[in-house]
Amino acid sequence: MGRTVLTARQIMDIVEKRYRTMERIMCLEDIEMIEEIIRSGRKHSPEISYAGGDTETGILLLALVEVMKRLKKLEQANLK
Amino acid sequence: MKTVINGTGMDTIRLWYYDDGKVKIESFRNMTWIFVHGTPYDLDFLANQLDRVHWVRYIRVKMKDIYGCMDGLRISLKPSLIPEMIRAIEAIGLGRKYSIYNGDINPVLRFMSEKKLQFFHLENPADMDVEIPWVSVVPVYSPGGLRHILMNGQVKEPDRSGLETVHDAISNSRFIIYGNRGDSFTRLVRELSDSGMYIKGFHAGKISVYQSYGQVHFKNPWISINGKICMDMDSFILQESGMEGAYAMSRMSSLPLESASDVTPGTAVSSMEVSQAIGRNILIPLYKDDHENSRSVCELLERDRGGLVLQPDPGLYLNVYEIDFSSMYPSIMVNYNLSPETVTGSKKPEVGEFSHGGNRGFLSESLQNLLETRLFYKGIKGKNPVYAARDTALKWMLLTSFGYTGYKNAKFGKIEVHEAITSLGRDILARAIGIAHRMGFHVIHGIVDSMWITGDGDVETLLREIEHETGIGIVMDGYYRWILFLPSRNGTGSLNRYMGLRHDRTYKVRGIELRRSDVPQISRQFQEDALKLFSQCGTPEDIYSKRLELAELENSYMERIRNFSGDDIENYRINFKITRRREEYIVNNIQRQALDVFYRSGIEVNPGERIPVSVADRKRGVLNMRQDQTGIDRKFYMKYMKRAFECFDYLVESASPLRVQRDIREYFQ
Repeated sequence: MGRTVLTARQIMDIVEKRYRTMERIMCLEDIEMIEEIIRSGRKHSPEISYAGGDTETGILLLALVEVMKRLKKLEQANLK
Repeated sequence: MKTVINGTGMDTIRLWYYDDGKVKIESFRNMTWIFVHGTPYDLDFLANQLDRVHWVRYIRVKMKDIYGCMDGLRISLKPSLIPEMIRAIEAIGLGRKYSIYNGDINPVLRFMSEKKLQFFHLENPADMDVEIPWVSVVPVYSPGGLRHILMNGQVKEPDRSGLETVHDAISNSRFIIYGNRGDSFTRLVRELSDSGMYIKGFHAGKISVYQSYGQVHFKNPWISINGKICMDMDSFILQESGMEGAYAMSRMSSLPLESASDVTPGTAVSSMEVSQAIGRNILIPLYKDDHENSRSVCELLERDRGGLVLQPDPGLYLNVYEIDFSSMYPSIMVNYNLSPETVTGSKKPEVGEFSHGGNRGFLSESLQNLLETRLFYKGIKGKNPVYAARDTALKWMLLTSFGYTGYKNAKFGKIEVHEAITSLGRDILARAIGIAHRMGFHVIHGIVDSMWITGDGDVETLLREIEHETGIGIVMDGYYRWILFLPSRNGTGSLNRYMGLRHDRTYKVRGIELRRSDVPQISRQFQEDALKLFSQCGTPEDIYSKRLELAELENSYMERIRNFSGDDIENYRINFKITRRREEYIVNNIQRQALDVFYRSGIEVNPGERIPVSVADRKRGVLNMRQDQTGIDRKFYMKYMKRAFECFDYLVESASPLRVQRDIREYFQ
């Protein structure tokens, strides 16, 4: 098909597969968290793809964005 | 008016003129030339060798290819002698000393381009095509033999008189559209011959199976009858855009109609480029040697990327605009002057640096006419189905014109051009997203060249602003009362599964069962009925109020499966695509089981073909292949139905007041 480089979404699949192995020895609570982080990464895959560069760093950075958004919401709720 | 409708031959070109219902053939003696470039010493050596051959003449000239001028020998000879001459030159130059140009061009295409002629020429693009009296012949075979023949839509029985009628029609008409699924037309011609009704000058090709974009495709054998134009009714362009589309493709590509209907749009656009190069005296290399430039891994990672596709949040959205760049990639090639000779160095093209004048690249200039003609037909396609057909044909050519820049054997392709186009495409969509945000819109989804947006801003101003900043035309493709983006299995939004109701009460659906060819008709029927049910719903409340009616509809379909009657069997047939040979299937799936049945009946099925099957017992692998076999596996079909229900259940669920509706504005903050 001509493409040499994997897309961000394809890399995300590989990353996900790798971390699924980790889940085998993780507690249930943590599994939920890791799945949520991967979901947040997937949600932002267009941004990661558009910027180019390292997909795994992109996933972490944008998962942090999601965490920050929630923190901000909680802070605002506390202020009220 | 006299119109050229066909061309044949090599050393003598025969042009078919169609005038007032009659075909007149004129012959022209055809001499041609090839160009050979090499070092002055090598050219002298070749000239010495050529002096000993009496059937060629040559002159020393300076000619240009897309990169610039060069010295060489222009060797004049008959087209039929070109392959022999090329072999000799390659042998003399040890396969590396000479670059040969204009050595493998279709002689008819070359003749037409040199003489500035055009097939199916129109004085004005809005004119109608000539009316040609086509005869369609479609033999229908069943395992028992020839069932009947469809001639111009009428059924002819396979008895003596029916066969005679078909034979007379084929013999007396110059224009034939044939159906040749499973080699049926060849079998018919053989049967006619066996009955003493011989068809003169009949030739047939072989079945071909090929892979394209990861999918296996099957192509019927081609048919040719001397002195006639024969077109396969299953040819891609006829299926997509009908006869008018095939005429438009022949007109644009300078390929004779028979070839234009047989080749892919990619080959047609490549032929068009070759034709333009001939018209402008630009040399066409026999073997391309402008290979990919070397670069670092980081550069490769940066550049080898496709279009930008956003990730929608699944759910129901109200009052959504769909805006769409018109022929985005070809427009980028034309407006940003992208061509193998203009894309050089490491400078990345930037959005906004578009130009219409100045030194135009070959590819950019070649595609301009095609793009303008297509946009002309796009603008008037609502007025006449002929324009719509021409628009579809040209749209396919434009689509593949981009892909061909990345094809290693494309005469005027270069991977760097391909990458520059996708890079600009991504940046243009990103710029459009930025403008939309600035003007008070929220972007819900975007796929390469289209966006779905919602908001209170003025959409007309937005379109003007995007066009002004990017230099690429953009139009509103639809305004939806509501649009539902469906979730994928992992919970995120599916990129290409959605359904939306426009304000004019028409639907746009993608990726659901209704659009799939590998589901039973009954699944599609359900989804059609369900869409009708929601066609008057403008708000989530309206949608939610239909939940009981939807449940009733679902139940009625389940009931229909439970109370299945044999007459309904056609609605349960699934067109399974065969993707490999029987012995290559590892899993004993339905395709393999169906192939076993065909194998036992002595019928060969090729990869890429589709076979209609209904399933009588999935576990035991009992399939219904014949028309008289009835009986279905109810459980199996109920599973299919449940999958068809899913998207409509999700629609109602998304419209439910109990569900916390996602505030899209909050998401984008």
